Amino acid sequence: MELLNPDQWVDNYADYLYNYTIVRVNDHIVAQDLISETFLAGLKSKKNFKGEATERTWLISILKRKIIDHYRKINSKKGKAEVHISYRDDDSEGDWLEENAADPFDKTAEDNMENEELGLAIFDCLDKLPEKQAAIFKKKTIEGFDTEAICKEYNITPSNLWVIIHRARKSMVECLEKNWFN
Amino acid sequence: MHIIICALCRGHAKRNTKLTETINAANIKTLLPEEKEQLKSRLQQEIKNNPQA
Repeated sequence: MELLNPDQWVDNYADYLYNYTIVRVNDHIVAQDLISETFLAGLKSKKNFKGEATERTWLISILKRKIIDHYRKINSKKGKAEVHISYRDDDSEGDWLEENAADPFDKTAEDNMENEELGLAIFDCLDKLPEKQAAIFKKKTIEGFDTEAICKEYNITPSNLWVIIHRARKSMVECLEKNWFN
Repeated sequence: MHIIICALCRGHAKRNTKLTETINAANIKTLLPEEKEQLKSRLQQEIKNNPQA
């Protein structure tokens, strides 16, 4: 039976939950708040966790409700809503016809959803790696930390780091070939 | 040069490149370390205040 371990929630799930949230709310601060609320709600309803799902699935189910509540709140303020238009620069202000034209810098919802699914598939594969290997791989390859900083944090040599990265990459390729490419 | 004659390494390099491209394509967003620390301290505070939770 799966047990809850709130002390590890941030390290283990914050980035996963953030990727899930950001494509749905499109606001960094709101996403952060929703994740924080999710963790606190999870803590409060700890007793309800039956251990039938994984800890992450359970947190996602709480987060889904938080996202729905967020949109409910927004919709309830509908009557008072103002329309905010953001201009990329002052010169383009008031170019109404151009505003209606397709924006090449905007991603379509479909692209975002596919990226999100791929992102979550990558997190699923990361979950299958040994904890330290996953953390180092994530820092180096996804978050772009430099070698020196990672070696210092984990007290390892650069050679150790590259061995860990090599093993992690090998496992990641195998996992993605199984779960994403095919 | 070695890659031209070694099929095994060529295959490995190809898969490695594909992994990098896939990760870049996913455009994964992560929270900053200080944002994670904030989340942690908020959660820790709550655990401290409600040990029964």
